[in-house]
Amino acid sequence: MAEPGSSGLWHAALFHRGAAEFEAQACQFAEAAASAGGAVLVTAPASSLDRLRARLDGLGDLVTWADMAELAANPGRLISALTRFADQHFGQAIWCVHQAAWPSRPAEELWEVLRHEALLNSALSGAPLRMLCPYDAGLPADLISCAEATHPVIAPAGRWQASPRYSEAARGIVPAACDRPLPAPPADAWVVSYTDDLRPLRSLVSLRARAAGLPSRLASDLVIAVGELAANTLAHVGGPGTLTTWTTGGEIVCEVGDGGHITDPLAGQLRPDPTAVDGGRGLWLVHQMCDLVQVRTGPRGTTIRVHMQLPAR
Amino acid sequence: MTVWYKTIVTPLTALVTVEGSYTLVELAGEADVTGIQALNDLLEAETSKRPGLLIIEMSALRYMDSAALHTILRAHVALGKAGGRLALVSPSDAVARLLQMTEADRVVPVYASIADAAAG
Repeated sequence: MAEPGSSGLWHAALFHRGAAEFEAQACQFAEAAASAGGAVLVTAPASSLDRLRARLDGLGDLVTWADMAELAANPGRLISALTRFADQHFGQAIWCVHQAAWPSRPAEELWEVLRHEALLNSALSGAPLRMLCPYDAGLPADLISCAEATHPVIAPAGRWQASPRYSEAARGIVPAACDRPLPAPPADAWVVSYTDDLRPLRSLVSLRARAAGLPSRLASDLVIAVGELAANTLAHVGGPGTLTTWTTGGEIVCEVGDGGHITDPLAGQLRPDPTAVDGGRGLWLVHQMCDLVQVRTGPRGTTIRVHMQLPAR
Repeated sequence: MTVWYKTIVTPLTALVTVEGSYTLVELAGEADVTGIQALNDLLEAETSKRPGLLIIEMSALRYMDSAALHTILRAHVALGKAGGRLALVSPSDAVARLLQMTEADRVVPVYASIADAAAG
């Protein structure tokens, strides 16, 4: 179970000190993948990609490179992107280096990274997938501890071994640390309630996005995303719901709240069948459209907060 | 807190024309979950007449959500079973984005003009 050559899902966290240690391990992993005939996907920020690409040049077409800023800036796209890559390389084992947790990344994004690491264990259990997830050892201790609990394999002394903090019984359950209540919206946020007409809500999002300086194509994506969330309220809860929107220094944020309870933790994670005629696309679309999606749901209601980064001024 | 209470809106409207070889449905406005029953009824009624080709013209449809898309995909399936076909024409940017993201544009053909759709 500990070595990446075994069958089924192999999901490991690599706690590294400095970029050089990560790059050496990532290169070893990619070379092992190449010699095993696997398809390699490297998702990392651009700076890492450039350095890894220079070292793995010899592997040529065996490696697919994905800039985190494009493929999976939103951690909620990871599972869907992996299944798509696996479909494109049907019959091959998938080896993925997934660098999503770097120290300068905002905490709210890092916790969503960890949530999806946990969900991956159930969503892709049994898949011929080897995942190497580097975590900078300089990250806060609670994040490191959560990474140990969401990865079945770690290498504390340079050898892969089962992670003592990982529990098979808790597989696919979102760790409490990733599910803390969201901070309250600012007092000057814009608010609209909806029960049966969603057009005022979409108009408000469109106008606020424009006022915040979000480019029109992204503003349109945000309207689509918020429209899907509000449509879910009407379809599954029967309303009412509330939209709250505000801007921070670098983002426009929209939050949809209603009385529903999303009981499937994998809702919106798996790419829907393009021919399906009976729903299941809404939350997946939201993840594809937005830079960060935070879902908090329980018997007392659901809050979903979506973020779009504003262009640097 | 600022309360948003009013806006100027355009409902969903549909204009149906039966041409020689096809039925044309021109949609305008916004199609979302609140209007899908009406859209569904309209498309079921037109589909049940078994046209060889049903064209949905979308250039004036400014917004569509996935619930409305499902209604269109159901019409596509129903027409296919009856030996006919569905074609979408000139989706606006937001509608084209939804079709592309969901890959519905690989399920139902999308054309640049009614003439292209009629020519198949």
